[in-house]
Amino acid sequence: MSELVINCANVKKSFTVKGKRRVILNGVSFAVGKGEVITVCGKSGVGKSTLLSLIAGLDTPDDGSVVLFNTDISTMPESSLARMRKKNIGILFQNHNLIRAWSAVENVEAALAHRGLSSVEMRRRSSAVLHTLGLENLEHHLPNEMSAGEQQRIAFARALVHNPRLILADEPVADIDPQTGAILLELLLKRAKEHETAVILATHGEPPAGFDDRVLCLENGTIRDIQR
Amino acid sequence: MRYLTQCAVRELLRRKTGTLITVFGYAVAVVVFVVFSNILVHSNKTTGEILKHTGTHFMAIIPGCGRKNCGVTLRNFNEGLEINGIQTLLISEKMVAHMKKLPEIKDAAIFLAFRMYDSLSQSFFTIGGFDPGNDYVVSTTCCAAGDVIAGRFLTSIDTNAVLLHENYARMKRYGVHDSVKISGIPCIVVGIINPGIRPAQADVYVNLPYARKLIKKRLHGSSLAAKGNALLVETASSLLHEKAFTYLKKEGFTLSTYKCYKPAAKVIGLNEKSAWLLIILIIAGVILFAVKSQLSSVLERIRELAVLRAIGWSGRHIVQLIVTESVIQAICGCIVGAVLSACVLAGVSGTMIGGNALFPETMPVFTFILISVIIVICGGVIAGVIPAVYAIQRKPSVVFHTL
Repeated sequence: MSELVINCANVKKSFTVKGKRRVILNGVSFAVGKGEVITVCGKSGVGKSTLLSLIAGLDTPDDGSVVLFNTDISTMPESSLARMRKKNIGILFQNHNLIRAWSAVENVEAALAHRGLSSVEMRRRSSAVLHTLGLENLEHHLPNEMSAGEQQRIAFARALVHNPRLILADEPVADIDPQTGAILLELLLKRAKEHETAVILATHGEPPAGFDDRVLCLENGTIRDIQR
Repeated sequence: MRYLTQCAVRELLRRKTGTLITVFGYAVAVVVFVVFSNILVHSNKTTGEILKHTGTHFMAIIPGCGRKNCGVTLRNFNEGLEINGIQTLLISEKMVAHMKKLPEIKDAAIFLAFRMYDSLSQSFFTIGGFDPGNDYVVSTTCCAAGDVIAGRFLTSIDTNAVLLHENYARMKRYGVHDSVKISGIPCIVVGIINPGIRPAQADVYVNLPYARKLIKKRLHGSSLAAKGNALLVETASSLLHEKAFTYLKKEGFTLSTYKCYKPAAKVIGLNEKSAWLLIILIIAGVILFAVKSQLSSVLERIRELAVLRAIGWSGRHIVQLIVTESVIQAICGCIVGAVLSACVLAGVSGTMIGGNALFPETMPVFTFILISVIIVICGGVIAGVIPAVYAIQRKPSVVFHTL
């Protein structure tokens, strides 16, 4: 395997719901190399989003370790995690999660904020990414002036604009039409190959054949590698 | 910071109505503080000026020591030198001259009151002698030309002329130009008077020399020259009233005053405290409303804030964003409030009592505006910090999981 981007070892995570403890991840271990495209599949509620949250540093495991770019993030402080995400990770949500008050280009710019870049440079880079994705005509549109597919593509632009080394996509095509979904997945794959960006795609459906390098199936709190 | 300010402005423009209401609230707080503070400060100042130049008045007597030893010898032991039913000692005009020299005293005068028996009607009445030429302390403590309801006031050169208190005149059915006998001497009623609640009261008023002449006829050989049995006093200012009291009490006097200055000053003090309390409550209310408004905004976009944290914004950046939104509203409110305050203060015309202009100085206005700006901006920071801390305490993963 090429240089490791992610190395999860025996990761455990549980939640307490209405006083009852519910184990979501019960000793998950896997590794992802540079430029690898991984699909994490499983039924709804099995823990795919939880796993991605742990990898992104948005949550902390109860046990085990999550090593990202050779750094154990399990015990990192919040400010360091934010810096790590800002620098290395692009996140695609199922629901695009664009900021309602901001235009498309302003939403993309948000991923470049607090890096010491000038506003001109931030705007230039954001516009360039939108242009690459064929979305230049939507630059100054608000989210409510765009279709769901367009909004998800803007979200994709936001996830890419800072050239992350890892993209975490949590069911990014679940709420959009299949054609747009296919385009998005194609863009993800292209990104991974051209820039050696690791991609982890969580889905409860089947990605197109040839999309991923590996499929990891999450079931009963554990993960297993499924060879295609 | 510039970028965060731009983001804050975008959010404020998205929820225009809420922003305008919050800004309006801050503006109201500034206007209330500046206008009322100005009014209170200038009211305070004017009150002080008024009290400084307004005296208060009272009557002082030395209670007597008994019929035989009060300095006079009476023909009729049922009569006597009495004020309000109290026997009194005589006071010389030398004492009056000495009193007038005191810095606390603006003016003093003698009053001579005697309880006299009227053998015709077999009843008692009080005769009061005063100096009608003194239109200062006498007018405030005894009677004045303005109290005459029929006829005319007395003059210093009147002889055989009397003024009757309205009550006494009605009781005895006397009118102007009627003749009354006092100590066997016929006197003409030149006027009927109602002096109100002044301390030096009598049924029959005469000028002082004539009073001494009439009363002397009721005494055995006692001299009343240059004497009276009550001191009428006008203090230099309300602020020195208590000092004058203390001096006279040391000299053995008892005092009759209605202390009108004190309740008024006390009321002013009480009203001022209430006004400041009201101002504080209004400002606190505005800040609480701003907290509530900002908290509602944060709750409404808690997911968006979680997304920003997910894409690399730290908790500090989120706090800065929310506080910036709140402070921008506060600053806008301050600007609007300052302009409105200046318009209100410039537009208010007229003067307060005492002849002082209501808002003669501009410096205190700017001072109050500056103070209100500081208070409101601090309020804006508080209104931002509380919701911001709430926002960053919720983990993004929990937010995404919950919503």
